[in-house]
Amino acid sequence: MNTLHNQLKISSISHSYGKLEAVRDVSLTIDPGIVHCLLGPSGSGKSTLLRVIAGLEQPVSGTVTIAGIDVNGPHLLEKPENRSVGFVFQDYALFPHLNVLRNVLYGMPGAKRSEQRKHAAQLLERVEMAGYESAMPHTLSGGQQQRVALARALARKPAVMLLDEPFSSLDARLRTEVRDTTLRVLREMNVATLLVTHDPREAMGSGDWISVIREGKLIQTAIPEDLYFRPVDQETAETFGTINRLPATQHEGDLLTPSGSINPDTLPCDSDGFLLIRPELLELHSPGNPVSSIWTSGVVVRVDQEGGTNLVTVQVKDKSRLYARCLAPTSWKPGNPVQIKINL
Amino acid sequence: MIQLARVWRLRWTWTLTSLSIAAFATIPLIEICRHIGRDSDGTWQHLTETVLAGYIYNTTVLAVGVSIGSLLMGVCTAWLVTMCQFPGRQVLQFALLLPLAIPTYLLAYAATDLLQFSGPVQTLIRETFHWTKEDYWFPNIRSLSGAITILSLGLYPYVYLASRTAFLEQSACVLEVSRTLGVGPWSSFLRVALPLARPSIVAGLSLTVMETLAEFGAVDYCAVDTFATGIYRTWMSLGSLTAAAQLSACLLGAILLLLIIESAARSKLRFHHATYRYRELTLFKLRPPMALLTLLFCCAPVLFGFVFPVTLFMLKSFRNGDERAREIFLELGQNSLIVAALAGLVATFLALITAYCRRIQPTPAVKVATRLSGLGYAIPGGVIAIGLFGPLSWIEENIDKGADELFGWSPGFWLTGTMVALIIGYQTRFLAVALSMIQAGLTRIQSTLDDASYVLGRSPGRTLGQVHFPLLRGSLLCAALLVFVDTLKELPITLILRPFNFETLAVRVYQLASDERLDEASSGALAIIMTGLIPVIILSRLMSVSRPSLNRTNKPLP
Repeated sequence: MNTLHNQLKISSISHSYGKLEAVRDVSLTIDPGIVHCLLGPSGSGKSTLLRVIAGLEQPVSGTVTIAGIDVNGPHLLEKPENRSVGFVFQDYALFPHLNVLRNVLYGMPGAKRSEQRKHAAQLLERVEMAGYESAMPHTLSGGQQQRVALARALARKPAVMLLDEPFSSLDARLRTEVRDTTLRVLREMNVATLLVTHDPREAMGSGDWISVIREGKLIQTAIPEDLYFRPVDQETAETFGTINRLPATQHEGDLLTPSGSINPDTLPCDSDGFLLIRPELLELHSPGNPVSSIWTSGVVVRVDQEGGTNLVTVQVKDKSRLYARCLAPTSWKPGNPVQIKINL
Repeated sequence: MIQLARVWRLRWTWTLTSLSIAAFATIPLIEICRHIGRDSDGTWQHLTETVLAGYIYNTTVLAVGVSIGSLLMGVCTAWLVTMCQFPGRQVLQFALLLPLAIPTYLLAYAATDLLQFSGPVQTLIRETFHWTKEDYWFPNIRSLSGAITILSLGLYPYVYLASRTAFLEQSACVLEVSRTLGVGPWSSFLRVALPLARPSIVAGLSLTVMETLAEFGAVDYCAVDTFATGIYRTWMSLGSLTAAAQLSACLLGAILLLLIIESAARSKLRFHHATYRYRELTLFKLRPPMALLTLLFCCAPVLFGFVFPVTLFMLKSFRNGDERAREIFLELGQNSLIVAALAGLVATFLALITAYCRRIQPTPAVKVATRLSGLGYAIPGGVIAIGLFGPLSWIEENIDKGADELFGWSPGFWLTGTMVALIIGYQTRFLAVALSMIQAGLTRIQSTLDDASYVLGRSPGRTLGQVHFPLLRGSLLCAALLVFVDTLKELPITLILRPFNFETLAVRVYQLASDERLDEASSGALAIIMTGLIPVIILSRLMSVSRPSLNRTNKPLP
């Protein structure tokens, strides 16, 4: 198998359970070695999409192409066992009656037993589970089970890896560690990975690309930075944290907001014509400071401690409120007058 | 296109297998219905004029009587054993299941033997009080009330099991709330625990009534004419298949009504535990006089339903069992073992396929098919045998004719003349037992294991072999054992469908007892009871694991 072709391409996939439309016209391309996160609330159709790609569900329409081969099409349905797909389930689904080694060997192709064992040992080494070959799944911790499940899924040398909330049942401290190991291994093996999650921070921390899905529809696909600073709508924006939302109108090439005008090239409006600005982009200055291109001014009304940063709420001219985030510790106190600059 | 064809063939193989198993299971029903409007050459008129009213009366009184009896014994003992602390409680919670091990017809033989005029009880009474026959009244066990008593003793464990499981599942929190609201323990039982347990109790009760309606041996021995005995007699003595089928149709109608009532009663009464906190019950300590009374009350069903009859059979077997009788029983035992083992294996295999198909292809057709496959347990054995006899003979005749024309060779009575017909009959009746056991086992296996296996390159068939089969071993063994034991003590199907001159242990015991030769039957009866203990042990183990536990892990089932 040419690893250059470890590509997953899905186009116009739709699927429904009876009347319920679970997935609506979803298209995505994931290149080899790329981790693509699918972010959405529970019931948004993200798990259904994974099951469609794996062949566990037959979509109503659309095509799935794995490593250049169509596996789903109008006249075609490849069975899950014949697809080059690895799947790590939310509950890991390790076979409880097989030990770690035999779990890994379960799906391994190849004729010679000795070669299989060597490959399995390499995989277990890779996921840092060497030495646990004869352990039974129920004696392992959640993180260990997850890594065995990963090794098992990798045993078939899949072109595409599907991860269904694989870190959600781990405690917070362990989660980062296991996630880093998992994604490092997948990138090293040049596999196209689709990771499903409902946790925006996990998506931000692990995805090369992120797709936001809601009610079965893809809302936005972007790299993490763009998704954070240039969300297409308010709901997507608020998924990742506090945001300033200002009504804006086009006027002679500028965007007019109640607080002042902005060049539309730097910050686009969302689909409803509102301007969305993250608090990080607002810089606060004392009124005396000579600062160029001040956008607007107001009075600090509240300062929230967030640990490494502070969220400062400023009341501006028209009584509306803006949020600015600055590094802690900060000298701003409620009642201080401030000037605000947009920092791009 | 090739791929698509493969996928569809895969689906159809499973679906068709499941559908054909269901079709086979429904043959007796269809056959019975086919006979409803038929002319039975006056036999039906004869029956309606003479015995039908009696059948209806006896069957109804029997069903109602047994319901009341088993409710009284089953629910009360379950509550006492679950909630109260008294000496012997630990032993009794399992001992109360023991009467299940004795087929009701053996209970009837034992009771008659103990309580008849020349039996030990009456003799003792006469000797103590120097009475003669005319001096006292003694209840006649071979009567309708006798049959009700015997069946209640033999069948109350179904109600006991259901209500005990329900009581155990109730969190102590619910009952403690009731107590803090100023309601006493007995009132709490009536106003909280009992209503909450009602759906389970209804299920246990319906099983009891179903068994009562299907009961042949005990009722026959007590000389009470019910539908079940009537069907057998109409076929065996009057030789009218059509009239027997028509009687069967009446009985089936009653059972259908019962099932409808049950499901209606249960759908309205589904409760969800509002609290997820489960607390062990604090047992209610009984003071000595009350504890003694409770102990006696809970011991009585065990003594009368198990200890006394078993002791009787043991004494008889040791005292009177002669060498020759033992030899015959050894041979019959072999017959019984072969038939029961075959029935158990076949039923487990068919149930595994049906249940697995229901899991991987839950299409409406397969769901209906699974339901139909499990229907047989509600149908009395005699009805199944009557319903199978015609179709099996028809198949046999036609194959015989066809083979004769084509090859000039006829296979003869390869169905009704051999064990095959018997095995088919047992499947129709007991497939449900294996099916429910295996379905329960399958639901304990997460569905992601199936998905994981497919994604790792296994077909559904190989997944069954490599994942489900090893994980289900316990359930499969239980299923096979339960069918094995049920087959071993089965009477009506065996009596009607057995090949000429073929006898099983149960049949011989029944015949000897009918001829009042209980001494000779005692060894066989003991053998049946001992094997009957196996499912009781399985049930009591299941009951002790059904307790909710907070940290249950994915350990493989033993």
